[in-house]
Amino acid sequence: MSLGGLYVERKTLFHKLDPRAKIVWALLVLVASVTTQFDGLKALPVFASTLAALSLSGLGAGLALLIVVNASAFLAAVTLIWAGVYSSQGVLLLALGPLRLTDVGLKVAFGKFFLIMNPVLAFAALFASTRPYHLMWALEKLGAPSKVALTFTLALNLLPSTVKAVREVTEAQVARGLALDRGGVVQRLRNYAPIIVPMIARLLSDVWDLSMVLASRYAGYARRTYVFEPRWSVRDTAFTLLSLLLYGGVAAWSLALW
Amino acid sequence: MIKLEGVRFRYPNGPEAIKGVTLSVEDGEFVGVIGHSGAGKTTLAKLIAGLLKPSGGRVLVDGMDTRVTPASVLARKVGYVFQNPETMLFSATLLDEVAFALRNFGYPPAEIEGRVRAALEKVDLQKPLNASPHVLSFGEKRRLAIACILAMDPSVVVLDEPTTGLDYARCLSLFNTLSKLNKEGKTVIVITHDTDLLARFANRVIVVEEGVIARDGPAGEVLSDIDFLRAHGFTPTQLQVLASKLKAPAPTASAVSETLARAWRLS
Amino acid sequence: MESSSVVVKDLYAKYAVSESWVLKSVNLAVGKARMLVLMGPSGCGKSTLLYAIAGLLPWVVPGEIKGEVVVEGVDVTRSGYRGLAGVVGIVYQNPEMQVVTRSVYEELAMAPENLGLPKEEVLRRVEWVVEALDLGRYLDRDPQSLSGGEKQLIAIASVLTMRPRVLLLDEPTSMLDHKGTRLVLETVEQLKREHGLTIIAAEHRVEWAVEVADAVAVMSDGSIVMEGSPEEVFSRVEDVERYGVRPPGAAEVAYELRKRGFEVRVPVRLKAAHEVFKL
Repeated sequence: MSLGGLYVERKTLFHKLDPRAKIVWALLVLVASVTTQFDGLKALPVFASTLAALSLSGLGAGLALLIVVNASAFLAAVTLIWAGVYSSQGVLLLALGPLRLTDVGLKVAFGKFFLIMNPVLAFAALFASTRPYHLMWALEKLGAPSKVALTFTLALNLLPSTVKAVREVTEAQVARGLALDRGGVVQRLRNYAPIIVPMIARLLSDVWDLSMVLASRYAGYARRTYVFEPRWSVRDTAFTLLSLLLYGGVAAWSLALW
Repeated sequence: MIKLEGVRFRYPNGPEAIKGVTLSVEDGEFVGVIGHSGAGKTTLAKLIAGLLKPSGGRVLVDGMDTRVTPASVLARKVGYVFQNPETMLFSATLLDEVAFALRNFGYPPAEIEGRVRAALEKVDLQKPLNASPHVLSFGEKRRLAIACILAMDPSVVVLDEPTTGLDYARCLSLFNTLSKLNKEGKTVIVITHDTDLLARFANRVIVVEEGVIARDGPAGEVLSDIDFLRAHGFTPTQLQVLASKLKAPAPTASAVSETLARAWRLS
Repeated sequence: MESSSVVVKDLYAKYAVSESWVLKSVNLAVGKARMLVLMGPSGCGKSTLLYAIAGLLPWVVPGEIKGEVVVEGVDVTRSGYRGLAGVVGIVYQNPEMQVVTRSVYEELAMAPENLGLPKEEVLRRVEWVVEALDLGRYLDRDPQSLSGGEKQLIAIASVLTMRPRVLLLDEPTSMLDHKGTRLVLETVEQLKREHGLTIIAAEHRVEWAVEVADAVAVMSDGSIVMEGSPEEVFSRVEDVERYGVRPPGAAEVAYELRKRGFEVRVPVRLKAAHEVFKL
């Protein structure tokens, strides 16, 4: 169990950026994604930038593409839903039985997909390239109260231990004959109960343990000292200005045409 | 009867955890497995139980190669009890918990309740079948986990550090239960750090070190060899030191006191 | 007269979820730089007692306490764990849960940083603990990659940076192998010997306890039922076993000999065993 969360130790460009710059960047991606949610085409440059950031952050473009590929099911579902909603607008591209896919429907579908995908990738890049220590520091600097900053990094920390727990639990239950790929949809959901229940129990126990340890080390006792304080550099200013230009530009573009 | 022939194992993206192990465990043995963390004890135990398949060599359980034998068949031969019982308990009742594996492996429903009762009795868990597993103490959860494995009546039971988190009285009662199972004909393989308990209950001790077997012999002999134990990083217990100095047959209180008594009577 | 570092008088304690008192009228006193080892079966209240002394119950763990708990002059019942910053350090059982960062240095700096100490002081303290426990070789390692015993060592170091005068340990070796156990126990001994820390440890490794403890207290069902020096407590083999505690091997042997009619003292430490058994 660690406060390491998604952090990957690397010496990349992204790692060297000030955490405040990265937090601002991730928020800008979120804003841009919200403004482009009805037009997937305009979200593409944002997507390209988040993929670039992800590969720069140490998680690698490979993993990023893996995430996207796995999200393709999500994309398909989103496409179906939003295509249906907008099936009466725009030029008809495809008609499959009751499904009518128009160009407007397709753009909205991609817009909605990127609405979720881009911020997820951006925050993943943020967490992969920033030590929780520095995240906490940045949040405090940006005005979040000490306890909030701590809680936030706590939540991040419990992720890898939960992942590990799921692996162990699955191994134990499969050894008892659990077959995850048996049966229809409802049955398959039920199949996961033997994994989810122990996993939740483990999560609760981990939260308890973590709280005890942090309390014993006096987390939240006073205004926290940070021995390692990042220094804002020219590079950070340049990066932030570029981000403002890029995402501000995309937002303005999509809002102007909207 | 379990045979390991030149078994090697490598975790995906990892170094070789088991580097060529050949050994056999006969029916009815009570084997203790000791070794430091990371030595490969758990990996070896899982290979024996067929939960992991060897990357090289083979594991034969009663003549069947674990790589090609289905899990349902293996589970009836070798049961593996995981270290942390809380990793597996999820049901609403004891009956459901113990019956889980039985139902998965297709046992006839008429047989299930009988097997559950028998298993719970073997571990001395005197609670009604509709009791919830979640209100049990840690020691009771341990016993429940063992009962889940015993329900399939395997002839070999492998336990991974079953004494962690248990106090002395419960450790003793657990080993007494294992001893009882052993006397009923089951083969017992236990991974543990508690060498005094092994000296008392096991008849064979295997020392695993960095993926290979460093020593394999009668429990009394291996555990009295304090030079060997010290050289391999183990801390000899008082009984082991005394047994070694007195050349007692085993590092147990009864053997050591017997040896001393005899020496004093003669003098 | 020896002044006491930790004084507990007529302490009752329970958790919010407990039906009845978990600790019942516990009394104990531990002198400065002395080591007390608590023993007893699961559920006897060892951990609860440690949490109460550390001021974690009821301030972090919901529950109730009544009675007196004074640690190095601080009234814990009034100030809770916040009043014990820099007084008490507590180490838990599971090494996995006590290593919370990906850098040993960050781990060590965490507690003094949390206390809001000035930067130079934090750096000084980390340097001190690295020197005191010989942790230089761990500094650029990821604490997650360390062995169980090493993790516990870092955990101990992480609370030492608060310069506590009392160290509480809740079964620190029960999840460790022989090597890890040795590492932790030797460190604890060193802390008592060289740094004068008062130590209260819940431990089940009786053969270590008898060699280094100044006093042993056996707990059962929420109260202290046996108390005294290791010799006084463990020579009463039958009583100790009845309370679910394992006696040292040498004591068991002496007890067996007595049953066979030999009149022998009951040795508790290995050296005494050599004398008694004439080795």
